[in-house]
Amino acid sequence: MIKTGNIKGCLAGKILWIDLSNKEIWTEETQKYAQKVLGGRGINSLIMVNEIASKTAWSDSENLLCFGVGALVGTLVPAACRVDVSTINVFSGGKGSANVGGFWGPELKYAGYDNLIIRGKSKKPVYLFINDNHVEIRDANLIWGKDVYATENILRKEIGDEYIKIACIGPAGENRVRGSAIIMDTAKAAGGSGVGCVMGDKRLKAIVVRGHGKIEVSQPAKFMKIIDQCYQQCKDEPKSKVMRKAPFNLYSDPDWEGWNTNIVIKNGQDDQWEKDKRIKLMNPLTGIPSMQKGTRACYSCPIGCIPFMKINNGKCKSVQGEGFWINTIMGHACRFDISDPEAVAESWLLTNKLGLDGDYVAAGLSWVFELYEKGIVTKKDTDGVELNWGNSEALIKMIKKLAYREGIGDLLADGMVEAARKIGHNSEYYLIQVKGQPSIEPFRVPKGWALAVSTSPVAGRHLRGATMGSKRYGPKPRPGDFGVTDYQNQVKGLVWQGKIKN
Amino acid sequence: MQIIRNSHLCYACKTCQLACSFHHTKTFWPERSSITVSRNPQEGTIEWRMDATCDKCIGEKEPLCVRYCVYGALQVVKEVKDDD
Repeated sequence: MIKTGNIKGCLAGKILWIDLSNKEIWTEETQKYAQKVLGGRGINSLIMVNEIASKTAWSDSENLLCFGVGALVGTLVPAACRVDVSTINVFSGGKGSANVGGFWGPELKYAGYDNLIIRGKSKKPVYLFINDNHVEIRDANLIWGKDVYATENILRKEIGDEYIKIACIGPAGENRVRGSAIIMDTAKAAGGSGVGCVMGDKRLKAIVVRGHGKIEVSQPAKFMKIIDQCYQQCKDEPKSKVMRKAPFNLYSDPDWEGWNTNIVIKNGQDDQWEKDKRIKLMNPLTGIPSMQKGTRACYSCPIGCIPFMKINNGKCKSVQGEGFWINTIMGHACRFDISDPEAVAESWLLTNKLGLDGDYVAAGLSWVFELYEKGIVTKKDTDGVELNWGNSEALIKMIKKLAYREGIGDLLADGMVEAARKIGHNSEYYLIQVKGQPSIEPFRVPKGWALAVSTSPVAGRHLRGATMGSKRYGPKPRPGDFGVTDYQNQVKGLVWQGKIKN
Repeated sequence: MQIIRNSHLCYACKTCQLACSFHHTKTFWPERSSITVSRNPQEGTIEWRMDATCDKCIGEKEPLCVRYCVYGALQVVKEVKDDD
């Protein structure tokens, strides 16, 4: 039995519906949903259950692409900026979702909407312009085919407002590459479940939002008292300072414990990377840390973990952008055995620019590298690209092939499980995937992490409950004292982390 | 009293803009803030502006923008009068 409650304050008040097939736009009250479920994903899920008939496929016009912004987003609650993107999962056919930070979510609430639900498919490429209650479906001819950076620049120029917030897809999403992301504010990716692929399938290139409104709370003085307590908790948390330097910096110490617990080498052939490679990649003077020119935070976030990167040397000198994560070390470096820091940074920024999910790229393409090693895929299949471990140029070429569906990229773009079926020769044996979605996660060493990733509803991702021992962020009381490789208490740890990593 | 900003410490999270709007309106309304922050993720630039509507959070213990800036980018400094 669902309990219902009367929600006062915090909500923007409306859900915006857009049908791209017949160009209809309408709104409904949020309240009737908010009485039953909390948050962006809660309402998205309820709408999906109510509106999508069983057996609907992700590529059917009836599939919904739902953007949900949580009840507290837009207020001063620390880090309340997240957006849930829900749709039918392109890998499993079940419920799919992805979660992303940035500035787009709060802007949608200031425009007056808690959720944005997109139905149908446009015949021609379009983008949405939401300016408070003025909502338009516009022709996207000018931006179709452009990468994320160019798309944003053209839209800012065309609309003439520097404060617009943009969620868009790159060429990968347009080409319906399964592992495509929706990129918000240039560098924050809603990556899982193939949400960018669904957006591309609907021929929707971008959603531009500008909001001028306000979010009211029911008892402002009491609300602010609780905010103060939250801020004090963030201040008292010793890990805050570490996060604020961008977490990847932990790996500049070649003996950092994460090197032994979080890392997967050569598509899962090993869990340990040679020390000289760790040092080359993460040398504070010449490696990845030397490219960090600043740190940024998402909206109203007191943690601030986004590095601003600028490549210092090599042929990609001066290439720059936000974002470089531990995932990048796990995925773009270790999985391919690439220790060249410039190449790793370049490949990551390219992934953002083309609108690809970095984990799909890392897990999927490293699988193809292994097939090359085993002789199952040959130079003939790759248009002459030699997929040897450590070959960073090959990785860059393969990322482009994947995004633009060139050569073998066309085969891989339809999903790695489907590709394995076509390639044959027992190639699926080497593919690490959960419910069809390739996974970069470490499964052997960190017990709680592996358990959470294996059972995650997003399939093979670590943002629903994954934990590395009990010394992580989380609500108090904590579920006992246990280490990364212990077996006991990991289930409690999963539930504990699941409450915050949502 | 003056509010000063150290650009090297700013993470461009816009919390100051939001907190300021709460002082003015008792709601969360960034458009009604004395502070405007914009950031260009491609170029790495941050623009931070404070306009003349800032009243240094009159009635509060300290300016809310300073209070909620966990990065220490905003600070209150007392204006020193030059006696000479």
